Amino acid sequence: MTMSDTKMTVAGQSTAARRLIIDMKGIVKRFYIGQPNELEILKGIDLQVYKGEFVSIVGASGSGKSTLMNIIGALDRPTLGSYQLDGVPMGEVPDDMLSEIRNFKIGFVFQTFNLIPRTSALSNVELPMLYAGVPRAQRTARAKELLRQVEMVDRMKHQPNELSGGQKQRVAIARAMANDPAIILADEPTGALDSSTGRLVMDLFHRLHREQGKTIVLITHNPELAEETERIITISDGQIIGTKKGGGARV
Amino acid sequence: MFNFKENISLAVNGLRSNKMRALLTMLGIIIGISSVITIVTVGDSMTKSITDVFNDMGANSVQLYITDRPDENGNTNWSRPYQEEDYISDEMIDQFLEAFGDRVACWAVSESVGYGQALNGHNKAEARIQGVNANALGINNIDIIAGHDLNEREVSGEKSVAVISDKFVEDLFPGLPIHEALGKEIKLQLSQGTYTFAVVGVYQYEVSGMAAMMGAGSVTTNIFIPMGVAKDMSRDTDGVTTVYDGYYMMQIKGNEKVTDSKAFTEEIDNYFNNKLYRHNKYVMVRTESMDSMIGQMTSSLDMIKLAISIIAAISLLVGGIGVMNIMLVSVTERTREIGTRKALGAKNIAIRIQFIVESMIICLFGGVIGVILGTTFGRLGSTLLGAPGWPSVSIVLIAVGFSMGIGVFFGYYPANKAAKLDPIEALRYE
Repeated sequence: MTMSDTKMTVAGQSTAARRLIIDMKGIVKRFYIGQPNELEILKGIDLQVYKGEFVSIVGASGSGKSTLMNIIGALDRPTLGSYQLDGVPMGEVPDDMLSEIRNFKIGFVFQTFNLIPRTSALSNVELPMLYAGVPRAQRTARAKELLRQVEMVDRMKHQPNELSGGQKQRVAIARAMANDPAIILADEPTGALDSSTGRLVMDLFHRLHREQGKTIVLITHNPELAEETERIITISDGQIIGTKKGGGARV
Repeated sequence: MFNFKENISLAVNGLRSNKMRALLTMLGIIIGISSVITIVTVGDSMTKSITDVFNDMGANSVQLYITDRPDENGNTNWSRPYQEEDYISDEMIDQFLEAFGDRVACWAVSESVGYGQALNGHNKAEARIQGVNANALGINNIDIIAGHDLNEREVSGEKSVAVISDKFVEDLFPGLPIHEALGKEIKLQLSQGTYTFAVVGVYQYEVSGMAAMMGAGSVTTNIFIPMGVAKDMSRDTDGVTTVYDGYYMMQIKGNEKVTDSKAFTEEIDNYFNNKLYRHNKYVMVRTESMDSMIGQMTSSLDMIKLAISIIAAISLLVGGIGVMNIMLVSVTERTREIGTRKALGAKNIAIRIQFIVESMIICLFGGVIGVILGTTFGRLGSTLLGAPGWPSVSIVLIAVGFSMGIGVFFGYYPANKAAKLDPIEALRYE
């Protein structure tokens, strides 16, 4: 359903009418509400991410960036505030629809890859399409195309335990793009990789961003990686304490 | 939508990667299903063979035999030997036939003389010698294939004639055509002496299911001789034991006028006990119809079947709990996978179905292995008991279906647990 309209706008990247993908206003997240140990993790976040942006969110551990990521990724709901994801008012989406939002709008890339064990790279990439109900022939064709893009097509029959860390992450990125989501949400994608393979993965993100106009949100604590992105949002103690342009910003 | 194919291949991969655990998990199901199949197969073939034997004897058959009459306290005097007047006499039979004759197809009394053997050069044939009344063999569906059954003249005249089995002919006169055995003289050696009989009839010896069960290959067949001759032979034994003229047991077969064999049996019972044995203080008659005997046999078989089925059911229950346990372990082990699937867009129902399918596959495999084992054991067991049988298609389908049902039932709780996992927690799980 959303695949077609996002596809249409991929090409039309103009600075003039930039489309909001993430529009957060006054996001507050509290845990243990009503209990003596009530905890406010996010204290009013305003965040806008536009289509085709490559944004990084940086912060120390405990700063609330994981919680923010969970809310962006529709895994969790804010206590207060409004969040529109690609035009969908998330506050109005019923719980049982959140899985569909994740399926169509979000492409997760995890630090620990999280490929499904004992399942081939190809099947892993097919998985989000499987849950979306894409017919077999179509999803296999698309999964192969995506694996070709991340240069993993020759390993598509391999299972995760037969792949190196970098290869796993490339499969994971292909999987994240399966349903052509509005954003790719990458949580410390190079955290478990050595610096050279981490470099390859970052190059892959840059390529997807540059060539396909993917909207990418990178969550990291590594300032050097953040510096490569277009915009760096620093979060501390549940609040955004600064936004600056990164080295990857286009003029 | 529910991706059964993917779920099935995933479950099969999972089982393959941990064969030993899968096998142990299935064990309870395998034992349960295989014992059900074995029991049902053996039980069915036994029921069938028993019913066949009794049906051979005829559905309208009634057996009556004398037994001690209980006194007013319900006790029986076991130490009192039967007297002449206690036995079923020829007069009683005459009276009975007068009253019931139009409904009796045939009747039989018999007197066992004992075992004997006949010799013809190197050839030897063994037989059990039975005295019978005229035209009595039809009651046990014994087929005369040459000559004739003992007739009135031969029986009342106490002729030295005999009806023997084709098996006996084969043993004594190898290669002799059956009809040429007619008129042959056979010398029977018994403990009390040697007797000569002329063969007037040959019947077909059938190894029925029961007979085969109690000793296949036994070649001791019955030789039927006139009752009077048999009584005289019995008296030759020692000259001390009194051999009375009456009979201990009688078989009656109703003809087509008998529509209700139960009522017929009761009527006979009534006639003997309230008329013929009315004044006998010590002895009465007990009647049994074939129907009631079949009923008794099958109901005791059913009891055995039920008992073992309960054991099998317990085994299946334990097996099911084993499956549930392994599924819970599996859900815990794969928490992160479940979290990932949810993050990628799996609905709760998709996760639930994935685990239910997995549990079903485990139980299905167990069920199929159980069916194969059960068929093998059932075949073996029923062959050993002399009535080879196969499990019916319906029981196989029920067993496989039931094992899948166990999978769904015991897989539901773990699957539901997996489906309800919080994706954030699940993704963070180490």
